[in-house]
Amino acid sequence: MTRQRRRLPLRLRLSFCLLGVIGMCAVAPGVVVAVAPGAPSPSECSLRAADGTYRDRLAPSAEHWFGTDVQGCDSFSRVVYGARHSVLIGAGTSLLVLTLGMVLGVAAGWRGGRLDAFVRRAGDVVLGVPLAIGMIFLLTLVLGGRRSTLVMVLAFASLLWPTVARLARAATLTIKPVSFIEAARAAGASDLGICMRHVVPTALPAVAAFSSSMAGLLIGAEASLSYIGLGVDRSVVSWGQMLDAAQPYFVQSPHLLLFPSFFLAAASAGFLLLGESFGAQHLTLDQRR
Amino acid sequence: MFRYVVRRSLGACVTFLASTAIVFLLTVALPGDPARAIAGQRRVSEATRAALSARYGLDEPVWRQYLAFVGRLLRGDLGESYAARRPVASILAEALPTTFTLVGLTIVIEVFLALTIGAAVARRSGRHVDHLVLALCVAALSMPLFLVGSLLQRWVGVGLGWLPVAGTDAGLGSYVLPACTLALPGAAIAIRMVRIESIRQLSAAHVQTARSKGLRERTVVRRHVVRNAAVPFISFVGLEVGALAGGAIVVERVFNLPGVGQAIAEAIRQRDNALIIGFTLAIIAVYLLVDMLVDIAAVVANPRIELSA
Repeated sequence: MTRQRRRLPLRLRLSFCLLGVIGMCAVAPGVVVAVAPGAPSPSECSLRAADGTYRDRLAPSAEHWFGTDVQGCDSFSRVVYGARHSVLIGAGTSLLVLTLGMVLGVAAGWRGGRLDAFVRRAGDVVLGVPLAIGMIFLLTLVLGGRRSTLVMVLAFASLLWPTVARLARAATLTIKPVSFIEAARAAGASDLGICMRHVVPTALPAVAAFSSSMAGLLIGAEASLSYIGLGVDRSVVSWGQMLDAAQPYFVQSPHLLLFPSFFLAAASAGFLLLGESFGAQHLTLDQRR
Repeated sequence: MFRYVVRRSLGACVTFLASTAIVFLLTVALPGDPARAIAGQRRVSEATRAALSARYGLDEPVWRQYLAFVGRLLRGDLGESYAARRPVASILAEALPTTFTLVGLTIVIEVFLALTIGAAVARRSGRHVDHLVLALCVAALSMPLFLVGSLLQRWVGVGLGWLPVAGTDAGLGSYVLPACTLALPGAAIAIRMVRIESIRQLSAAHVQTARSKGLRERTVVRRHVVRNAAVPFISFVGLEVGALAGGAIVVERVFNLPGVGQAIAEAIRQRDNALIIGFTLAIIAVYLLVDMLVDIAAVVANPRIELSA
């Protein structure tokens, strides 16, 4: 038992450390970049230095901690600025899916009947589409060429809500016949009031655990999409596109691939460990499709 | 049982029809006037436009167009690729064997790792090995696939020269590295799953009985724990097929395997929408089919499951 109690905070501490670093990069990249002597902004790139030497794909050095990329940009500042996009994809999608799934799931479980049948059927259809295939379909054929961070978040969310809705619905059904719900109703509480005060808090632990580890998997999934040419617009600095651009130079300049990969893995692991400490181990099954 | 199979397959058909309807509405019916799109930039007379519409059946009501669309699908006609100027179905037929081999081998590796490592860790839960395996699992889930693939390619393939690094010329051997790459994240989840299920089984009554009759711990685990822990595993395989579809696209590109994923990646680059639509529907169909078979297999393996679906 003591072992158990000691173990839990360790995962959580590790998760907080990872998410803290990544979060700082995402919120205030300018401050983080100011620590390093390299270029202060990710868009300040030049192929030639002042003395005329080429400065593309330089190895990591005291001036450029993570080296420079194909365009001669400082990799460290690009990696730091790239955090925001990945965090928005992971956390943004998860929060949206959590809200959407919770509303639909609780409403379906509480009301039952036709609404319930509709939410379940719609969820079945969406779950019948593998995530990657659904994303490719939406991003190429439906949403056209504009791929902002927001568009990616909405596309992911439209494919991921059913699992959360299922969890929320199941929790609603277990609590609905419990006596204190009846008591609350006898005391004159409205349906909405009961749902907000009693039903949503019951469903929240499972849903939150699921959502936070989903955020971790999404960060990786988004980078994979970049790798097959469906990343966010070039105007956004993102790890996925750095990796995509680094791929041909893997042998000569492995640092271009390694540094963004480590940050990506750190962000992903941070969210996964967070979900893990919420007790999400048994839920990760449904998240991969 | 028979009624369950019938009901389950009807359900899968309805789901598939619903997804074809959505795909149809979002691609064929929605964006503007297809006849104008066919005519391209040229200014066309009203007569030409009407002729084009009539030729492709675009003047019919949407529901008749949809029926025609489904009819073509049922006859195996997935349309024609704009880029390759060939039927999508024949491109799919060429690409499928490679991807099936890759996914099949991947699932074999995942199941093997899960049953061996998962069971071993379950007996040592809370100890250092357990934490180490958890850490490795989180790492396997969070590392980007193309990094893992590139590293394996570099170290094991080129560095040690043990296995081929690209293409499919070496038969099954050329699938080993790609399948190992693709198996990592799935194996991480499967190991955790078997571990939790085994821990639950370890305290079950029939396991206590097996122990009390003097069986060695290893025999108990192998014969009574892992076997029961493997039941939820069957449904894992179904979900896994869907998850692997995404990973396969990445891994096939890293290892240059001429499979479904490569074809899709190529289609994305060339904006070959017909191929994307055809492949999307084909993959959904395969996924739903596997999911259904897996559900039925789970019922066969464990008659205690309630047939309520």
